[in-house]
Amino acid sequence: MNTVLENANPANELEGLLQRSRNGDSRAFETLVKRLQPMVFKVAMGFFRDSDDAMEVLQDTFLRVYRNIERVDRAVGLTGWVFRIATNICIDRYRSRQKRGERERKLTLLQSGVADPAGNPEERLQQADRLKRLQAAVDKLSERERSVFVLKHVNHMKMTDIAAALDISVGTVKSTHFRAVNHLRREVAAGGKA
Amino acid sequence: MKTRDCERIRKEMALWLAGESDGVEVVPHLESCLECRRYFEQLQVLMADIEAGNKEIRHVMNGVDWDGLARQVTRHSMQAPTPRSSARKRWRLPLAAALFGFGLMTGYLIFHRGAERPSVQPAALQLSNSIRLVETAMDRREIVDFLGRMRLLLVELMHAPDTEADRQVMAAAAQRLLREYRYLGQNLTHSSIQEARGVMERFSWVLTELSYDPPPSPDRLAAVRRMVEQERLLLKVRLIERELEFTAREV
Repeated sequence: MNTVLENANPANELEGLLQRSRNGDSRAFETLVKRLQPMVFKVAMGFFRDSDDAMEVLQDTFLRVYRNIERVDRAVGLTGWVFRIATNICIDRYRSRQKRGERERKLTLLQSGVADPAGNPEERLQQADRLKRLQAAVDKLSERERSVFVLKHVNHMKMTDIAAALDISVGTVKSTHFRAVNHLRREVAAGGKA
Repeated sequence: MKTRDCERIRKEMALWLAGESDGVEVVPHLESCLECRRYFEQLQVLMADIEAGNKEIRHVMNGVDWDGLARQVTRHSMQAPTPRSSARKRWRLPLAAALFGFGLMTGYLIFHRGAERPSVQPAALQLSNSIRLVETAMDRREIVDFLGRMRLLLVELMHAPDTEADRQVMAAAAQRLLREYRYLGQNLTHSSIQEARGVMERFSWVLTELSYDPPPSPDRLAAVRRMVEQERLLLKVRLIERELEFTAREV
């Protein structure tokens, strides 16, 4: 099975777009943005569950990509590098919110049950409650745990790709993933009983 | 009863459910261990919740205008600040040479004239400290100047310029400020106000929106005004100005 990084695009096509973007070709950069923006958006949605936040993270990520376009880490590749930037931006944003004491976030998406608007309202409400509980549990994870969890379960990346994107070993990714999942399982199970 | 084997199998379970293991040891263990079976059921509930969350994310993503978003992101990224140009650095070499000369002379006076040592620091360290202080002060001055002009532009914007000529003037002012902003990126780091970077990037967005394809339409102006109000940028620009002025006095 191909990894997310391999699926994102043929490496040589991305390399070509990158090279043209470096030379100031706005169409090439726009194509690059088009190819990579859904995965960045997903990372941000995994962190914040809010489309406004996701849009801002997307904007900031590509701004940083463009500013540092000469410094793409060849060891990680363009896609892994963009994942790293997006994750770091999400973490920074999260930290600054915590500093400002804005832990309460908009949970409109989670509460709306938009995924199944035709379903039973009671079921939708229950599902919204479960998702809210899950998000509250995700909020309690450490930064690294949250990053690994989002990249694994929202972006469906391979552990090896996550390790490359976060610049940590595969063993660390696995142990962090286990801690995160174990914590979430406990929190969700405890919430279900409450 | 939970054993060391259970611990190992539970780690394996998490990998299996994440598609990273074939789980060959998990199933036989579950058949013989009630506690792990319960644990596994809880993990399955968790995975179902995660999938429900992902379904909602996919639903939101289906409603995004990706082409329009890519255009907007590209425009913003390519017009935003680039690394400081060489023109901005041109004055640094003569300044460094002058300070180096000053440092040498100070060193000569201290060591060869038997003058009292003003400090225990070596001359080279004093020199680098002096350069840093001068640079920081200059960087801060530039940012404060920029913020002052940015504030005036925001005030103008909030007064809703309605004629095309007014909007044209505003676009030209935004273009000038955007050019200046491109030199300020590193100053933020030098000036130890990295926290302000997020706000500064919002300013860059405002300037980009105002200067792109001039004159800006009344709709675009209204959207920018809403953003300025929502993010309270007028208040923030004043706060950063005051912070910089205050710390500059301390330096």
